[in-house]
Amino acid sequence: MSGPEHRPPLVRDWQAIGEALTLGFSVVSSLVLCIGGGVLLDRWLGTAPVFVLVGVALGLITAGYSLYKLAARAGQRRVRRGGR
Amino acid sequence: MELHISVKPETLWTVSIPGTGFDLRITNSFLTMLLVMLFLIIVGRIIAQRAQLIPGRLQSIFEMPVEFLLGLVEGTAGKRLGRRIFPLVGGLFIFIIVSNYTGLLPGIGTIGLVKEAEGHALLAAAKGAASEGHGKAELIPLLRPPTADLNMTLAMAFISYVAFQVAGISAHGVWGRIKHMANPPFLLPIEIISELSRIVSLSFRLFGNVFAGETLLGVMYGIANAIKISVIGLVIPVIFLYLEVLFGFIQALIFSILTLIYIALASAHEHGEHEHDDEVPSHQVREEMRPAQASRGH
Repeated sequence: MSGPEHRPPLVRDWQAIGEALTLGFSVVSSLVLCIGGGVLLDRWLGTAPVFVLVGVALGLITAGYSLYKLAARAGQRRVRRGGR
Repeated sequence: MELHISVKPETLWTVSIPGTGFDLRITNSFLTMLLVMLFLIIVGRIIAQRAQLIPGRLQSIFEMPVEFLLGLVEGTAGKRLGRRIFPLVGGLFIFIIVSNYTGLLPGIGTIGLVKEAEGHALLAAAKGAASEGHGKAELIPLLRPPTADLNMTLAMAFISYVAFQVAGISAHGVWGRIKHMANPPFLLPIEIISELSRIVSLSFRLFGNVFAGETLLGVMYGIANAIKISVIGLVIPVIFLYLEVLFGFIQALIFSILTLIYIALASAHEHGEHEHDDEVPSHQVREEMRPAQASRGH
């Protein structure tokens, strides 16, 4: 049995680095994807700036949700390790 | 010395595919990718052929990174899933690290084809040759690190995306996967966007870091060329070459670790946490924590 709390420190460290690097990029990539999609839709349908605004809202919600998920996962892992 | 920085990979040759009307553009990053693949296939074959049960010194050198990666994959995804996805994660890591390090080799970005205004191409030994003779001559580097091309990193990110979707579907089934993502149901569109944004983040992170490293090295070579005092010009790029060795390793590891985490998350049996064949059940963790809490209370 080798649950997350029994993993070697090296594995945990690299995972933590990987997830920490995800933090910034998950915010940016969600916004880029949603706003970019909004700009393309507006250009295609000629409805500017409706979809850009929808994209901004959706991007912000997604970015917030991604951050929440990452934080929740890190919290769960911490609890499993006994607060360490 | 003139700096040559291009976000887009340069086309070396164009091969028309008969009967389709399409042209296959052989770019410098594509050529380097083929060379990297050829190198890996040949080296892999030689090592596999000479492998012994009791490894020698050379075999141990090659086994060390493989064992490190296997430990990382099994430690994260569990033994059963880890063994299944190791070829993908390990392959990605080895390919990316070798691709990143091609940028550090002498001649990459400096040896190329000199194309004149009429389209006549000559092989140039160095960038300086481009400026000699004809004024309109332009040097097109023959080789460019594959990971400094967004097409390449995007393709790898897409492979990673397909891999974790397949892992999720094979673990839960199509309906189970949808239910796994729609928990609660109104979060499904956000979950879909969040998963699609992983393609953007994976590809742009790798491309950005490698391309920035290439540009930085180019600028440092330019500065080194401009400084004509003793060996100072030689020392400046060395510091950045060391940094690039470190960044090349970290970026390769990050790409493969994130692919691994995404696969482990997609095939997890509980929303938001890894639950695998060899995972400790949560009730057991609570039991283990109880004595520690009790001792803290006294």
